Amino acid sequence: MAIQVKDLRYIYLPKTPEQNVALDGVSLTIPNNAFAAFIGRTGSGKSTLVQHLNALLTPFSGEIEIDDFKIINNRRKNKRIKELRKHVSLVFQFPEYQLFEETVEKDVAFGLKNFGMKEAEAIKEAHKALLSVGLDEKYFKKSPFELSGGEKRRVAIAGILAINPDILVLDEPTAGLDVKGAKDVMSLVQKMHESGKTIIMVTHDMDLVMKYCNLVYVLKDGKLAYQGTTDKLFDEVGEDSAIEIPPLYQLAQKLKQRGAPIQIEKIKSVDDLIAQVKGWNKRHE
Amino acid sequence: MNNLTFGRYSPYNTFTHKLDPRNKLFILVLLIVSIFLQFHIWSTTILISAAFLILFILFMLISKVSFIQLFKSMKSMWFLIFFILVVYIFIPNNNYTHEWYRFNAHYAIYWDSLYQAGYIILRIILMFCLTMILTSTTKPMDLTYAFEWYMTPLKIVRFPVHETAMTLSIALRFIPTLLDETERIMKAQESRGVDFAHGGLGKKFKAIISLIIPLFVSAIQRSEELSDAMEARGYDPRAKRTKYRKLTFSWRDAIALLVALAIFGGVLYLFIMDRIGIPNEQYIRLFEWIFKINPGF
Amino acid sequence: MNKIELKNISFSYSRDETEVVKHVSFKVREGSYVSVVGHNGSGKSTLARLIIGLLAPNEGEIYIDDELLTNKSVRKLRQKIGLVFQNPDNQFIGATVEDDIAFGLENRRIPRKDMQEIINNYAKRVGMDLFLTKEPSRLSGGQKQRVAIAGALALNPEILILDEATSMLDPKGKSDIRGLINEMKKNNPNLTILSITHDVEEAFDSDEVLVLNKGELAYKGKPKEVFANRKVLESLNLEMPFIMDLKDKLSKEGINIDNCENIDDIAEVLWPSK
Repeated sequence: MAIQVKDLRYIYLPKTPEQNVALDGVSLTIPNNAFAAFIGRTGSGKSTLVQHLNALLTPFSGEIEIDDFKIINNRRKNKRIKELRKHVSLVFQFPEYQLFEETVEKDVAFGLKNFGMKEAEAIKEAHKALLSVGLDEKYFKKSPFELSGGEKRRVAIAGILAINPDILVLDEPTAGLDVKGAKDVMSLVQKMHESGKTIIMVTHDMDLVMKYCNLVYVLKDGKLAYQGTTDKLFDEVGEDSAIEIPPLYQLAQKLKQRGAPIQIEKIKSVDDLIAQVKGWNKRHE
Repeated sequence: MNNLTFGRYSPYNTFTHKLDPRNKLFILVLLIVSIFLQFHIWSTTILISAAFLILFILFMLISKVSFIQLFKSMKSMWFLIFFILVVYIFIPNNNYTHEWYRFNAHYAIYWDSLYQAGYIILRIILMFCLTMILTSTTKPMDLTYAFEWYMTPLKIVRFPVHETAMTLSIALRFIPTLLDETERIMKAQESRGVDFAHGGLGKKFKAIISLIIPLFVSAIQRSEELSDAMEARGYDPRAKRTKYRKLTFSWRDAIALLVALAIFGGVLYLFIMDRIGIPNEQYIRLFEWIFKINPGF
Repeated sequence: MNKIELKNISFSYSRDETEVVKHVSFKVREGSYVSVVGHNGSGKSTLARLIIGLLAPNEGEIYIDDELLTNKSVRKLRQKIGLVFQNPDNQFIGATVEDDIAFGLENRRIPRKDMQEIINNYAKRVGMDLFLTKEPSRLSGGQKQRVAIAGALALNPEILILDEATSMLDPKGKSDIRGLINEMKKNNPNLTILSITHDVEEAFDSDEVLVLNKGELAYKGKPKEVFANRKVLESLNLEMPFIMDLKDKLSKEGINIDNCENIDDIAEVLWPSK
């Protein structure tokens, strides 16, 4: 098991009037090479949870084991943080806001240098990472601030890919992108997964979850409401659940309630639904 | 930012919370002046300071100001307090007369210096308590309204009172937003291996740059969008505007003001007596009785 | 009557840069709900800023209520328009919900005695009446956008422009705002709504859709017409709304759901209850 979270609790501003229990005893495991999604409403605690995975937040109580790393509630006793952050990397929402260097290649190399790589080698690795996100030589010496939104996003992701972590955590990687931009980013993430990395994605977009992920964790009010494979998700969560159910699955659930012989776990797209509907109609006639 | 506690407004609904911010600001000034009145007779000073301390603790209890938070926020003050102690104790002064401990023929520690240092430290702490009471019971925005009200006369000399107040209130409105943003960028850079806490000067400098530049870029973008939003809603700094917020002076304010005036008046009376030179033997005797010592005044 | 009319509008951020809006002309009738869709960088957000006079076109004319938008008329014409921007944080001006709704009223010099009623009224309309004294940091993105809408509506505008107002919200926030817009349409049929969005589901609710592509007006028509052509949408980098997609694919199987209003109706067609 790659990641084990045990009875994790986290409280914002403890012992003040604004105290807010963000995570209330969450336990879960994420196996190696998973493509996992964390979903839930805003404020359900999913972003707080993933920020524990590379020790950006320290648990209030409970602990996290990631391969041979252990994160406990004592900040001082958490050793090898830098190593952990090379092992588990986090791409924040709107990562383009973290760009700051004067050239694209320098910005991508920045993380590598922090983890101890020499400048020349770091730039070389940066070039590789930039090419892998589809930005060629023309971009290397450009200022990151003159790029378009989608390009900036790719530079920021390249900055994390260059570090070559084994576990990649992405918070809303497609937020604010249009259809093409989102597709580009997701096929990049897909490629990372195929190359053997564990991917953990926080998202609101159920289409992405159904299309790319194999495991899903649903959080509600700081507690785990569902964990399991994606195909069973809409079979098990009902109407007033912790998530917004996309219209495709609302329809599928309605059909099931009416007694139609529908197999929700086999539906990933409109085409899958129609493939099943086709059969019924022939029977009707 | 979880560790930013000083001056945070705590959303209770106490007597102090309900006071008019203009009144609170005025009372703050009155009480600070009262603390800073100095007496010739040191026992008077100490007794009055002690009385203030008790009074302020009472005020803090009424206003539900957390003592833990007070001590936490005073963390940054310990160095200052230490510095004052060192300066007063080890720098010789010919006016000192009451010796406490003599090292050698040239050097000694005097009661006077301890008293002076202690008095200054106590005053700083008292002032700290007062400010804390004000900021944790008054929304920053209400303070801006109060400032604007007090500044109104400056309009005569063409001072841009309204613009200043608007700028101030927008700055206050965006502090939490920018703090969140700072935290987010710090975390994002930490994920890229930046260590904000450790490392040499060069590394630290680079770490700060990686925070400051993105922060500025986003702040500038925010300000552009904000000015568009304000303009779209018809804001014109030169035009006359009506006001939604009205500050009201209630019976609570009258009571609070009377109490503050009474304290100020009392201390001022003692101060004048002291300056005129009427010795206040009772205080000394009371003091000697409490501490059972006679330093020999 | 035309509420908004653009005649041959072109705009570039600086003289030597390529134009982000190219020769765009269209009319918006009073009381209609028009969506402008397009991919990122299609110039759709620039349009909103042009219409409200925050930017001036290089070429062409803009009319609001048949009056030409100029330096002189901008202040007067702007009073007819309420604008809601994309970022919920960057348009929240007041310290609390009530102060933010009051901001525009103060600018309009509405007497203080009338403000409370207006604020309560509009806060209630957007479902924020229980949050009047809350600060923005305690609200979700969707709640902040509802406040922004209340702030715009409180000024009693004839035109409401939504500039990507839902793009930074989560699905719950998005569907809340969508519901709110549809409700506004019902309660106030004279209100003209111009919504700039890249969410095709949202645009599907409107009376008319304008598609911008690389600064040019590529298509214009009823949502059911514009969104029916899969090839065109793909070339414009847009998705097909779910209902259209389903309808299109079902019709190929000989199932007609044209008369369906909602998901329940579709379920009824696909699996009739007895």
